[in-house]
Amino acid sequence: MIWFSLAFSAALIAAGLAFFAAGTLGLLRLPDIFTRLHALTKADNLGLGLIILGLTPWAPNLWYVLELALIWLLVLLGGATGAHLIARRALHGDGEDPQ
Amino acid sequence: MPRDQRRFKPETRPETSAQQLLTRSLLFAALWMVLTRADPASWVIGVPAVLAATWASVRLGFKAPRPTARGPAGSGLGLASLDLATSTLARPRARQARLASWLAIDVRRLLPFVLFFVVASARGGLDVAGRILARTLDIAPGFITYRIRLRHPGARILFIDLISLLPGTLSADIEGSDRLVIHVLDVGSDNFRELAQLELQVALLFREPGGAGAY
Repeated sequence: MIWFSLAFSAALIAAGLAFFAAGTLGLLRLPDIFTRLHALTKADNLGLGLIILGLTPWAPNLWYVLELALIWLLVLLGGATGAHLIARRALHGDGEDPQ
Repeated sequence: MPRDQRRFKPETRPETSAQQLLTRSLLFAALWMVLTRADPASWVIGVPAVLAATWASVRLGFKAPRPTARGPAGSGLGLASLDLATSTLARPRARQARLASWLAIDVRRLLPFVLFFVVASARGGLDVAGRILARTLDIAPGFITYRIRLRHPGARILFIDLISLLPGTLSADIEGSDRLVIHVLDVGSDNFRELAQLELQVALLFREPGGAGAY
Protein backbone atom coordinates (compact mmCIF):
# COMPACT_ATOMS: atom_id res chain seq x y z
CA MET A 1 0.00 0.00 0.00
CA ILE A 2 2.74 2.44 0.95
CA TRP A 3 4.51 1.56 -2.30
CA PHE A 4 1.39 2.27 -4.25
CA SER A 5 0.92 5.75 -2.82
CA LEU A 6 4.64 6.41 -3.18
CA ALA A 7 4.50 5.51 -6.88
CA PHE A 8 1.28 7.51 -7.33
CA SER A 9 2.83 10.59 -5.69
CA ALA A 10 6.13 10.29 -7.52
CA ALA A 11 4.37 10.01 -10.91
CA LEU A 12 2.08 12.97 -10.28
CA ILE A 13 4.79 15.22 -8.85
CA ALA A 14 7.14 14.35 -11.73
CA ALA A 15 4.37 15.21 -14.21
CA GLY A 16 3.74 18.46 -12.36
CA LEU A 17 7.41 19.38 -12.53
CA ALA A 18 7.41 18.57 -16.26
CA PHE A 19 4.62 21.10 -16.78
CA PHE A 20 6.50 23.74 -14.79
CA ALA A 21 9.54 23.04 -16.97
CA ALA A 22 7.41 23.32 -20.13
CA GLY A 23 6.01 26.64 -18.91
CA THR A 24 9.52 27.94 -18.25
CA LEU A 25 10.67 26.76 -21.67
CA GLY A 26 7.69 28.60 -23.13
CA LEU A 27 8.84 31.75 -21.37
CA LEU A 28 12.14 31.42 -23.23
CA ARG A 29 10.81 30.28 -26.61
CA LEU A 30 7.66 32.30 -27.12
CA PRO A 31 7.89 35.59 -28.99
CA ASP A 32 5.89 38.17 -27.00
CA ILE A 33 4.38 39.06 -23.64
CA PHE A 34 0.90 37.70 -24.44
CA THR A 35 2.01 34.26 -25.59
CA ARG A 36 4.32 34.02 -22.56
CA LEU A 37 1.42 34.77 -20.25
CA HIS A 38 -0.46 31.85 -21.83
CA ALA A 39 2.44 29.52 -21.03
CA LEU A 40 2.74 30.71 -17.44
CA THR A 41 -0.90 30.68 -16.43
CA LYS A 42 -1.90 27.38 -18.01
CA ALA A 43 1.23 25.25 -17.58
CA ASP A 44 1.78 26.40 -13.98
CA ASN A 45 -1.86 25.85 -13.07
CA LEU A 46 -1.71 22.25 -14.23
CA GLY A 47 1.77 21.72 -12.77
CA LEU A 48 0.78 22.96 -9.32
CA GLY A 49 -2.48 21.00 -9.46
CA LEU A 50 -0.61 17.76 -10.17
CA ILE A 51 1.96 18.40 -7.41
CA ILE A 52 -0.78 19.13 -4.88
CA LEU A 53 -2.70 16.03 -5.95
CA GLY A 54 0.52 14.03 -5.54
CA LEU A 55 0.93 15.36 -1.98
CA THR A 56 -2.58 14.49 -0.79
CA PRO A 57 -1.85 10.82 0.14
CA TRP A 58 0.71 12.08 2.68
CA ALA A 59 -1.61 14.50 4.44
CA PRO A 60 -2.11 13.50 8.09
CA ASN A 61 -5.81 14.43 7.98
CA LEU A 62 -8.49 16.07 5.89
CA TRP A 63 -7.63 19.60 7.06
CA TYR A 64 -4.28 19.40 5.32
CA VAL A 65 -5.99 18.28 2.09
CA LEU A 66 -8.40 21.21 2.30
CA GLU A 67 -5.52 23.58 2.94
CA LEU A 68 -3.61 22.26 -0.07
CA ALA A 69 -6.72 22.66 -2.24
CA LEU A 70 -7.14 26.20 -0.94
CA ILE A 71 -3.52 27.02 -1.82
CA TRP A 72 -4.10 25.75 -5.37
CA LEU A 73 -7.28 27.78 -5.73
CA LEU A 74 -5.67 30.99 -4.47
CA VAL A 75 -2.60 30.57 -6.70
CA LEU A 76 -4.97 29.99 -9.66
CA LEU A 77 -7.01 33.09 -9.01
CA GLY A 78 -3.89 35.14 -8.30
CA GLY A 79 -2.17 33.91 -11.46
CA ALA A 80 -5.19 34.45 -13.70
CA THR A 81 -5.88 37.92 -12.29
CA GLY A 82 -2.20 38.89 -12.53
CA ALA A 83 -2.01 37.69 -16.13
CA HIS A 84 -5.12 39.68 -17.02
CA LEU A 85 -3.70 42.85 -15.46
CA ILE A 86 -0.33 42.45 -17.19
CA ALA A 87 -2.04 41.81 -20.56
CA ARG A 88 -4.27 44.83 -20.06
CA ARG A 89 -1.28 47.04 -19.26
CA ALA A 90 0.58 45.75 -22.30
CA LEU A 91 -2.40 46.52 -24.55
CA HIS A 92 -2.64 50.07 -23.27
CA GLY A 93 1.05 50.75 -23.76
CA ASP A 94 2.26 50.37 -20.17
CA GLY A 95 1.39 53.91 -19.09
CA GLU A 96 0.29 55.22 -15.75
CA ASP A 97 -3.39 55.50 -14.95
CA PRO A 98 -4.87 58.69 -16.43
CA GLN A 99 -5.68 61.24 -13.73
CA MET B 1 -23.40 52.56 -20.46
CA PRO B 2 -20.39 53.65 -18.41
CA ARG B 3 -17.22 53.53 -20.46
CA ASP B 4 -14.94 53.21 -17.47
CA GLN B 5 -15.76 50.51 -14.94
CA ARG B 6 -12.57 51.01 -12.95
CA ARG B 7 -13.57 54.09 -11.01
CA PHE B 8 -14.66 53.22 -7.48
CA LYS B 9 -17.90 54.92 -6.53
CA PRO B 10 -18.77 54.19 -2.91
CA GLU B 11 -22.06 56.10 -3.06
CA THR B 12 -23.53 53.44 -5.35
CA ARG B 13 -22.96 50.71 -2.77
CA PRO B 14 -26.12 48.67 -2.31
CA GLU B 15 -27.64 47.67 1.01
CA THR B 16 -26.47 44.22 2.09
CA SER B 17 -29.21 42.01 3.46
CA ALA B 18 -28.90 40.17 6.76
CA GLN B 19 -29.02 36.92 4.80
CA GLN B 20 -26.02 37.94 2.71
CA LEU B 21 -24.13 38.98 5.85
CA LEU B 22 -24.78 35.60 7.44
CA THR B 23 -23.74 33.71 4.30
CA ARG B 24 -20.54 35.68 4.02
CA SER B 25 -19.54 35.37 7.65
CA LEU B 26 -20.16 31.60 7.49
CA LEU B 27 -17.94 31.45 4.41
CA PHE B 28 -15.15 33.34 6.16
CA ALA B 29 -15.56 31.16 9.26
CA ALA B 30 -15.16 28.06 7.09
CA LEU B 31 -12.03 29.59 5.58
CA TRP B 32 -10.66 30.28 9.06
CA MET B 33 -11.31 26.66 10.05
CA VAL B 34 -9.31 25.44 7.05
CA LEU B 35 -6.44 27.78 7.90
CA THR B 36 -6.29 26.78 11.56
CA ARG B 37 -7.34 23.12 11.11
CA ALA B 38 -10.34 23.75 13.35
CA ASP B 39 -8.26 24.49 16.44
CA PRO B 40 -10.83 25.69 19.03
CA ALA B 41 -8.32 28.03 20.72
CA SER B 42 -7.80 29.93 17.44
CA TRP B 43 -11.30 31.44 17.60
CA VAL B 44 -9.98 34.06 20.03
CA ILE B 45 -8.42 35.65 16.94
CA GLY B 46 -10.79 33.97 14.49
CA VAL B 47 -14.04 35.62 15.56
CA PRO B 48 -12.71 39.19 15.24
CA ALA B 49 -10.99 38.24 11.98
CA VAL B 50 -14.19 36.79 10.49
CA LEU B 51 -16.18 39.85 11.57
CA ALA B 52 -13.55 42.18 10.13
CA ALA B 53 -13.47 40.25 6.85
CA THR B 54 -17.27 40.36 6.59
CA TRP B 55 -17.24 44.11 7.25
CA ALA B 56 -14.50 44.62 4.65
CA SER B 57 -16.40 42.56 2.07
CA VAL B 58 -19.45 44.79 2.56
CA ARG B 59 -17.35 47.97 2.37
CA LEU B 60 -15.63 46.82 -0.80
CA GLY B 61 -18.68 45.01 -2.11
CA PHE B 62 -20.06 45.26 -5.59
CA LYS B 63 -23.69 45.44 -6.56
CA ALA B 64 -24.92 41.87 -6.69
CA PRO B 65 -28.37 41.83 -8.27
CA ARG B 66 -30.76 39.07 -7.40
CA PRO B 67 -31.05 36.60 -10.26
CA THR B 68 -34.01 37.37 -12.48
CA ALA B 69 -35.22 36.07 -15.78
CA ARG B 70 -33.98 38.50 -18.37
CA GLY B 71 -33.60 38.49 -22.09
CA PRO B 72 -30.26 38.21 -23.80
CA ALA B 73 -28.09 41.23 -23.10
CA GLY B 74 -26.05 41.08 -26.26
CA SER B 75 -27.37 41.52 -29.74
CA GLY B 76 -27.41 38.81 -32.38
CA LEU B 77 -25.69 35.46 -32.18
CA GLY B 78 -23.18 36.05 -34.91
CA LEU B 79 -20.79 33.20 -35.53
CA ALA B 80 -21.03 31.69 -32.07
CA SER B 81 -22.27 28.18 -31.59
CA LEU B 82 -26.01 28.22 -32.24
CA ASP B 83 -26.43 24.69 -30.95
CA LEU B 84 -25.52 25.91 -27.48
CA ALA B 85 -27.79 28.91 -27.57
CA THR B 86 -30.81 26.93 -28.67
CA SER B 87 -30.28 23.92 -26.42
CA THR B 88 -32.66 23.28 -23.53
CA LEU B 89 -29.83 24.02 -21.11
CA ALA B 90 -29.68 27.63 -22.16
CA ARG B 91 -33.32 28.50 -21.41
CA PRO B 92 -33.92 30.99 -18.61
CA ARG B 93 -34.51 29.37 -15.25
CA ALA B 94 -36.74 31.99 -13.69
CA ARG B 95 -38.73 29.74 -11.37
CA GLN B 96 -35.58 28.26 -9.94
CA ALA B 97 -34.16 31.72 -9.33
CA ARG B 98 -37.25 32.69 -7.34
CA LEU B 99 -37.05 29.54 -5.23
CA ALA B 100 -33.53 29.89 -3.90
CA SER B 101 -31.95 33.30 -4.22
CA TRP B 102 -30.26 33.51 -0.83
CA LEU B 103 -27.06 32.14 -2.32
CA ALA B 104 -25.62 33.66 -5.46
CA ILE B 105 -24.72 30.23 -6.81
CA ASP B 106 -26.71 27.08 -7.38
CA VAL B 107 -25.12 24.53 -5.04
CA ARG B 108 -26.30 21.58 -7.15
CA ARG B 109 -24.30 22.93 -10.08
CA LEU B 110 -21.09 23.24 -8.07
CA LEU B 111 -19.75 19.71 -8.53
CA PRO B 112 -20.41 19.55 -12.31
CA PHE B 113 -18.81 22.97 -12.57
CA VAL B 114 -15.69 21.91 -10.66
CA LEU B 115 -15.38 18.80 -12.83
CA PHE B 116 -15.75 20.87 -16.00
CA PHE B 117 -13.09 23.26 -14.69
CA VAL B 118 -10.61 20.49 -13.78
CA VAL B 119 -10.94 18.90 -17.23
CA ALA B 120 -10.65 22.30 -18.93
CA SER B 121 -7.50 23.27 -17.00
CA ALA B 122 -5.89 19.92 -17.79
CA ARG B 123 -6.69 20.45 -21.47
CA GLY B 124 -5.37 24.00 -21.30
CA GLY B 125 -2.06 22.93 -19.75
CA LEU B 126 -1.58 20.02 -22.15
CA ASP B 127 -2.47 22.20 -25.13
CA VAL B 128 -0.01 24.96 -24.30
CA ALA B 129 2.77 22.52 -23.34
CA GLY B 130 2.31 20.68 -26.65
CA ARG B 131 2.54 23.93 -28.61
CA ILE B 132 5.70 24.97 -26.76
CA LEU B 133 7.43 21.60 -27.14
CA ALA B 134 6.72 21.29 -30.87
CA ARG B 135 9.86 21.41 -33.01
CA THR B 136 8.69 24.69 -34.49
CA LEU B 137 6.41 26.70 -32.20
CA ASP B 138 2.84 25.70 -33.02
CA ILE B 139 1.17 29.09 -32.55
CA ALA B 140 -0.84 31.57 -34.60
CA PRO B 141 -1.51 34.32 -32.05
CA GLY B 142 -4.06 37.08 -32.40
CA PHE B 143 -6.88 38.96 -30.70
CA ILE B 144 -10.60 38.24 -30.79
CA THR B 145 -13.56 40.10 -29.29
CA TYR B 146 -16.21 38.29 -27.30
CA ARG B 147 -19.45 39.80 -26.06
CA ILE B 148 -20.05 38.76 -22.49
CA ARG B 149 -23.62 37.98 -21.47
CA LEU B 150 -23.19 37.38 -17.77
CA ARG B 151 -24.63 40.13 -15.55
CA HIS B 152 -23.76 39.09 -12.00
CA PRO B 153 -20.46 40.82 -11.06
CA GLY B 154 -19.09 37.73 -9.34
CA ALA B 155 -19.99 35.58 -12.33
CA ARG B 156 -18.24 38.01 -14.67
CA ILE B 157 -15.06 38.06 -12.59
CA LEU B 158 -15.06 34.26 -12.40
CA PHE B 159 -15.57 33.97 -16.17
CA ILE B 160 -12.81 36.48 -16.97
CA ASP B 161 -10.37 34.68 -14.67
CA LEU B 162 -11.21 31.22 -15.98
CA ILE B 163 -10.78 32.27 -19.63
CA SER B 164 -7.04 32.45 -18.98
CA LEU B 165 -7.03 28.82 -17.84
CA LEU B 166 -8.90 27.46 -20.85
CA PRO B 167 -6.91 26.09 -23.80
CA GLY B 168 -5.49 28.90 -25.91
CA THR B 169 -7.36 31.94 -24.55
CA LEU B 170 -6.25 34.81 -22.30
CA SER B 171 -8.39 37.70 -21.03
CA ALA B 172 -6.65 40.86 -22.12
CA ASP B 173 -9.08 43.75 -21.72
CA ILE B 174 -12.67 44.79 -21.09
CA GLU B 175 -14.14 47.46 -23.38
CA GLY B 176 -17.26 49.20 -22.17
CA SER B 177 -19.49 46.93 -20.15
CA ASP B 178 -19.58 43.74 -22.18
CA ARG B 179 -16.84 43.48 -24.79
CA LEU B 180 -13.95 41.26 -23.83
CA VAL B 181 -10.72 41.49 -25.79
CA ILE B 182 -9.16 38.05 -25.69
CA HIS B 183 -5.71 37.00 -26.84
CA VAL B 184 -5.68 33.57 -28.49
CA LEU B 185 -2.72 31.28 -29.12
CA ASP B 186 -4.23 29.90 -32.30
CA VAL B 187 -6.67 31.95 -34.34
CA GLY B 188 -7.45 28.79 -36.31
CA SER B 189 -8.88 26.80 -33.40
CA ASP B 190 -12.51 26.98 -32.27
CA ASN B 191 -12.04 29.62 -29.59
CA PHE B 192 -15.63 30.88 -29.65
CA ARG B 193 -17.03 27.46 -28.89
CA GLU B 194 -14.65 27.12 -25.91
CA LEU B 195 -15.64 30.54 -24.59
CA ALA B 196 -19.36 29.95 -25.08
CA GLN B 197 -19.15 26.60 -23.29
CA LEU B 198 -17.35 28.17 -20.33
CA GLU B 199 -19.80 31.07 -20.18
CA LEU B 200 -22.70 28.64 -20.21
CA GLN B 201 -21.19 26.71 -17.29
CA VAL B 202 -20.70 29.92 -15.27
CA ALA B 203 -24.24 31.05 -16.17
CA LEU B 204 -25.70 27.77 -14.94
CA LEU B 205 -23.70 28.05 -11.72
CA PHE B 206 -25.07 31.56 -11.10
CA ARG B 207 -28.60 30.67 -12.27
CA GLU B 208 -28.45 33.00 -15.26
CA PRO B 209 -29.80 32.30 -18.70
CA GLY B 210 -26.80 31.05 -20.60
CA GLY B 211 -25.79 32.67 -23.83
CA ALA B 212 -23.25 32.45 -26.58
CA GLY B 213 -21.22 35.56 -27.17
CA ALA B 214 -20.86 37.20 -30.54
CA TYR B 215 -18.69 39.68 -32.29
